Amino acid sequence: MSDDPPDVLGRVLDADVDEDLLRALGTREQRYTLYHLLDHERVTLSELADVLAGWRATTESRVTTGADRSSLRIALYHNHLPQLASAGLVDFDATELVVDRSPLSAEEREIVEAAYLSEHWTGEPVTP
Amino acid sequence: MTLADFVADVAKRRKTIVVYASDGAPDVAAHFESRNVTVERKSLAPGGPDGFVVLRDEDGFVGAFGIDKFAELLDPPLFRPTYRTDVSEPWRSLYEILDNTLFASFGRRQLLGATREIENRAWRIGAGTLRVGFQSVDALAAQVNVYRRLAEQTDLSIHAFVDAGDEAVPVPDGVELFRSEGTEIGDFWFLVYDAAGDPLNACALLAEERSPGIYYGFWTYDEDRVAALSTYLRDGHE
Repeated sequence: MSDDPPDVLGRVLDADVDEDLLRALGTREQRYTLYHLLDHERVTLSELADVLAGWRATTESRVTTGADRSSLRIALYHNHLPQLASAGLVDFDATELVVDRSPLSAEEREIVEAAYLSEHWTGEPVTP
Repeated sequence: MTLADFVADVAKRRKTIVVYASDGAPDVAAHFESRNVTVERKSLAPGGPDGFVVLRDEDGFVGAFGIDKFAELLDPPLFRPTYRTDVSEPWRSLYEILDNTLFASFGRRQLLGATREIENRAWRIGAGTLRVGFQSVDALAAQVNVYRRLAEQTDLSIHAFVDAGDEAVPVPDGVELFRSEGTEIGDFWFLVYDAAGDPLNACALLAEERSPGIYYGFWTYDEDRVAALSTYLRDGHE
């Protein structure tokens, strides 16, 4: 791994990137959903809520509870997943509660990967 | 309530730990091999934020811990808060896993190791009540010297429970004997030490001989469970 963060901003500014992807990357829950789908083609809503609660524990240096996870699950279901789905970035089955990865263009995938790799340096501020 | 119910209660509290980590991350799950817990491992793409651990029970999600914090916690000596009621739910559940070790098939040699640990602890603290179960008069006879020394050198109250009929039972001075015949006492190997109310030193071992020489049960450092066992033995067998 190099010592410098990948230049995500530079890539994004240089590329003609869909605004929906930028908006998704600017929202923590949606960004982390796209991260998880980098390594998994299909994920249940339940597991995705676990994963977001897990990453929140990591980025905020605290233990996340059932209440955290429950509010994340609700926000995913009502807000973030429908937005990602209408942007064509995921496929969300609201009946089966399953999220499938949508085929991203090579450039879109590269941007999501770059954002993922840079998360160490640009992560959310630590709150006590 | 029976001694078997105490074992069943620990067994049914089995939890699941799901470790999300990229390849090559430290294996925190290894700490849990002997615990009453199911470990699952799930992958994360390499190079991103640190992984995490999700704790689940039969009702679902309990809590999530950053993997660094989790690994820190598992470095011995294990951090144990004194006042557990102040601790939030995910921590309580994690301590419950760390406090209770369930074993499925221990032989006498392994049980003797855990037994010595409890006896040594009782000897060091030197106060409180130690309740010990012997499945037979012979089993007690084999340990008479250990208990003579404990009775002579400490202020412990030692209560020995023995499955015995009319035969003579060798009991050192200072050890109080409670005999019964054909009850559950004959099926269990146990030690319950209340550490005179010190929550950090209370401990117990409870093992049922399910086939000859093979034991199923648990040991625990959970002071509430130790207190419940002490009360149960006092009310039911003393």
